[in-house]
Amino acid sequence: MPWLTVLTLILENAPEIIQTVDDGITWAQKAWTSTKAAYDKPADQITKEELVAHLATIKRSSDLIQGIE
Amino acid sequence: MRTILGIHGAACAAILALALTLGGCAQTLQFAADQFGVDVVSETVKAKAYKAALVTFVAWGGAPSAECQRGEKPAADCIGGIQELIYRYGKLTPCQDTTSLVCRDDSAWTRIKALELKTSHTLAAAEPVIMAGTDDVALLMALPTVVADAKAAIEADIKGGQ
Repeated sequence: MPWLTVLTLILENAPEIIQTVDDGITWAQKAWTSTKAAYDKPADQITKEELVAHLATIKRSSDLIQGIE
Repeated sequence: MRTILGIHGAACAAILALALTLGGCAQTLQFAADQFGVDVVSETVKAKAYKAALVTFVAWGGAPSAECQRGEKPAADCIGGIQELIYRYGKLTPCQDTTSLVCRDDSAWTRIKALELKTSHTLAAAEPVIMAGTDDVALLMALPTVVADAKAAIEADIKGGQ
């Protein structure tokens, strides 16, 4: 999975990114909770509008990341 | 040291769980495609394609609030998932500008930024597929392939950078 590859790259090159116990646990919990909620959502309730909204947020976040010098 | 190991363990366990979950989605979808073929795919398989896409998007970009989805909050307040981790790393002070041990390796940052851009662009390529409508099963079935293509591209980048 791409995110696993990216995370491995980050942790190999910069383990300092997760600076404190709180940071690491909070991030991991949030990532897990939100992904599990998506997985548990009944498939027939997922709309294309919802998916497109997620893509729009991913695009905004990507623009934010790419703007960092 | 124990603390650092604990943090990395928690993060890696969460990511592994995410990867397994997403892998399960893709495998289920592929199994269905192999068994039934695109032309006779059921509503259930189409729904699974949507679920695979949703879980993929949430793992990568988080689960934005309604305000975030409407663009009413700054992007920095809406970032989540792996993108949040990348963003937090990017905001660290470059190592050459600080004596702090907590800093950003610029060569690593350049590669991570490129990987982020490529992955986000590849996921964004799914939008026309999604907007094509639920009748186009063949396009829906392409969603896991989009993710697989992103994985292959990232792996090629990493191998090329080493």
